[in-house]
This record gives sequence, structure tokens and C-alpha cells, in this order.
Amino acid sequence: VDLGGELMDMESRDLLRRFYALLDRLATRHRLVFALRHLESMTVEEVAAHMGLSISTVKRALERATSKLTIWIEADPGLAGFLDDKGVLR
Amino acid sequence: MTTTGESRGRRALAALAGMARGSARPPTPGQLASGLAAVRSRLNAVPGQRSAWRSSILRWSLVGSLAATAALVAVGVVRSGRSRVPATSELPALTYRVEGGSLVDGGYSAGDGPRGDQGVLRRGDGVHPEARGRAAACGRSTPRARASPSSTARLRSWSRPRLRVSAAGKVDVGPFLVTVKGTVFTVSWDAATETFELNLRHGRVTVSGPVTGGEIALRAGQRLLVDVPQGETVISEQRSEEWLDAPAGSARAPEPPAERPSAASDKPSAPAGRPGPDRLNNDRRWSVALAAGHLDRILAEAEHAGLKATLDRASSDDLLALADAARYRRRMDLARDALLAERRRFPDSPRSLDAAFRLGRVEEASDRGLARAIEWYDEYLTRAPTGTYASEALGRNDDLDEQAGGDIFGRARSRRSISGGSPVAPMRGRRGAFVRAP
Repeated sequence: VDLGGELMDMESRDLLRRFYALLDRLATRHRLVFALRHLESMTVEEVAAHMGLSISTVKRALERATSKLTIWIEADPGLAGFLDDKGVLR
Repeated sequence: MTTTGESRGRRALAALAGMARGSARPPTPGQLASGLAAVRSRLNAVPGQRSAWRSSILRWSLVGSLAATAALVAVGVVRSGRSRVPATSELPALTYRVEGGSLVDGGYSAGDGPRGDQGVLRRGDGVHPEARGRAAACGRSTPRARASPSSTARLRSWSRPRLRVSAAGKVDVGPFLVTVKGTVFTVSWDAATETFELNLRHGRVTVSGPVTGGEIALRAGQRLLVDVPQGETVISEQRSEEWLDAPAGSARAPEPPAERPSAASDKPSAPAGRPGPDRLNNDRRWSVALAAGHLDRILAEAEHAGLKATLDRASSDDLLALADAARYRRRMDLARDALLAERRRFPDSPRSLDAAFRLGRVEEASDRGLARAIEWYDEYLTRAPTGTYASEALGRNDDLDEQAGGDIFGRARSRRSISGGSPVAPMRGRRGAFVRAP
């Protein structure tokens, strides 16, 4: 993980490590679509153009990736607990 | 999963994505270009795997086909060597006699009546169990056949359909195959409009055809309508009084209207207790009017009869036709009432599901907001994840989500509960599976 300009605390690093582990569980196309849309902040149209997919396919892939990640996060008590402790979920 | 739990999960996902986004330096244009190139090369590697997988499937399919062909040939050789079954041409042919008509070239029959549609084809008795009969008839209007356990087949009003009757109890009409299981029904195929109709009185039948996607099982009292060009398959319940013309359990079907003089069939009403074609068609009069574009006539007739009475008594076909007419005329309240009546009065009918989808369209077009439309689409997708409108409902839901400003962290979708938790389960099987990363 590139920490960028600011130093991240150990808990945050661990959170990100676990988050990236979840991303790795996604299918390739789902992972790439999710990353371009939400980590690289591209629009759906830009993602579709870069990946050579239709917009509706990108939307479906995003929805599926989001649903899976949500389920996995909820099933990971450590992740949810960390976020709760940090006040993210409140 | 509860909505609270789901929204909590989505908030967590939003937080993690935000954290990941903030943890990395923004890429330079060069880094972004090289990253995207890597993405494209990775995606391009996937089809290679797919083609290898497909080649493997193709190879094994070929092997399987060859094995099956060899087995069939072997069985055929053994049977031809051991049995004394005569060739097909030597089998005793089924005999038919034509009442009120005559046979013409090509094995077709033509009616002698003034409209040319009064010919009746009757299968003879004493059919050899192995025999296969084939007959076809031509006329000028909608074909209709009636079959009964007595193996009597009558045709009237044929327009080049094909009827195939076997001792096993199978009827080919047009492109459809009806398997008879001790039953009485009427079946018709209109070649001009490519519509198929089957009304089942006794027993049960299965129907296979070009749009049903397999066998459709029908039970007594159901009517199947298939519109091939539209790709619509509708099963509805028959009113019981439509079948009061014959005693229950009778081994022989009553004489069909086709055997009456043509003048009689021109009369607008059938004899009391007998469901003549006009009476049957009466249930679908608004469907026909809708197809002809007579929207205002449908609405006027409904208002003349009283909207409440119409909603309480109209047939399933008519309710949907009324709903469509009202929707096309932007009378959304009436369309909604008609569709809700359809769902209330025919809850187990497939049309009830269609009504759920159409209610979504109505709510989309009305002032009640998008939330209700999404609820109806979800209801449809929940109950018919592979239904006719599943993909459309899914697409419209996505569009509505976008219109509502929802992003991935927006509305909690009840669709997730469908079929293994996938929100796109209705599309499963229609799209290629995504290949995991190498």
C-alpha cells in the first residue's frame, strides 16, 4: 500500500490490507470495474470506455462487486469492529 | 440480511473505499496510462482462456456426439435384424373421414361450406399402437381442433395448420406438440398471426413449442395463449361455466360447433350453456380491441359498465387490456386499479406477475415517485427471476437507481435475497461467466 503523503496508523494499514484481500476475492472484471470506479474515481462511462464494455455491463458488474464486498465485510467481524471502533459506522 | 445490516455493510464499504482512495497518491498521467494498458492486457488474456475452455468443451461434445450416434446406429442394426416390424410405409395408416368437406391434393382437406371452413376430420377406430398418422387441412380462418380420450379429432376453420395424431396421444398443431393424457381440450393455431391457443377441460396436457422454452404443464380449466411474434406465453384460468356444455367425465367430446351448418356458426351467440367461439372470444374482446388500437373504445366500455363492476368481473385478459389502454391514455390511476385487480383476483396466474412489472411502469410514469416502481420491479424479480420481463425489470431498476441519485452505497436491494444472494440473478445463465484472474 502506498501510504501517500500522510502516515497511516497500524490499524488503518491492517484495515486496508484486509480490504485489498477482499478485493482479490472478486472476479477479475468485477475487481477492475470496482477499482476504476471507486478507487480511481472514474465515471461509469469512462470505465466502460477503458474496459471496452457497455455501460449496462459495467453497472451490473459494479452492483455485483458491491454486493459481494458488502456481504464479505459484514461477515468479517474484525473489519466491521475496527470501523465501529474508529467511529466510521456511527 | 436486514436492511440495517446491509446499509451498515455498505457504509463500511464506502469508508474502506474512501480510505483506500485517500491512501494512495493520485497517479500521474503516465502511471494511469500504463496501468490501463495493464488492465487491457489482462482482460485480453481472459478470452484466450475462454477459447481454450470452449475448445475443450467442443472436443468433448464431439466425442459424445460420435458415441451417441454409434449407439443409435448399433441399436437400429440390432432391431432391424431381430424384429419383423414392417417398414413405415407398410404400417397400417390411420384412417380419417372428412365430414362436410373433402380431401384435396397434398393431404389437405377443404370444407364444403359457404366459408370453406366446415370440414371435420375424424380419426378412425382400431388404430395400430405403433401407427403414426398425419393429416393436414386448409381453410380460410383460424384453425381449431378438439381431441378427446376417444381419439377423435375434429378440425374446423383451418388455415394450413398441421394436425398429427398418434396412438400415444400426441397432437402436433403448427409448431406445437400437445401430449394428450386422457383429456379433453380445444387447440388452435393461427398461421396468419402465429398465435396458439389451448383450452383444457379435463385431465392435463403438456405443451412444447418454439417459445415456451420447454414443456408447459396445464391442468383442467386452464387456457394457454402463445403469441409467437411477441414472444408472449400466457396461462389463464377458464371460467367454469365455459365448460358446462359437456357432462363431466364423458368419454367423448361433445359435437363441436364446426359440425353445425355454417349459418349457425355465424350467429353471434351460442346456444345456452355451450361456449361458442364468440363467447370464448368475448373474454378477450378488449385484447383484440387493444391490438387494433381502439383504446378509447375500451375505456368507454369500461366506464359504461361501471369501473368497479368491471374491475370485479372482467376476465384476466380484459383487465390487462384495460390497464394497457389506460396506461397508453395516461390514466394511471385506472391502470393501477386494473393491475391491482388482476393481482387480487388472479394471484396465482402468471399474469399476476406481468401485472407486477406493469405496475412498475405505471408508477414510473405517475407522480408517486420512483420508490414504488422499484418496489414493483423488485417484487417481479423476486417472484419471477427468470421471467419474461426480468432483464427489463433489472435494467429499469438500475436506471431508476441512477435517476434517484443512488450510487453503490445507495438503496439496499431486496433483490439480493434472490437466488443465492446475487442481485443480478435473473441474468444468470444468459451471460458468460466471468473468468477469474490468472
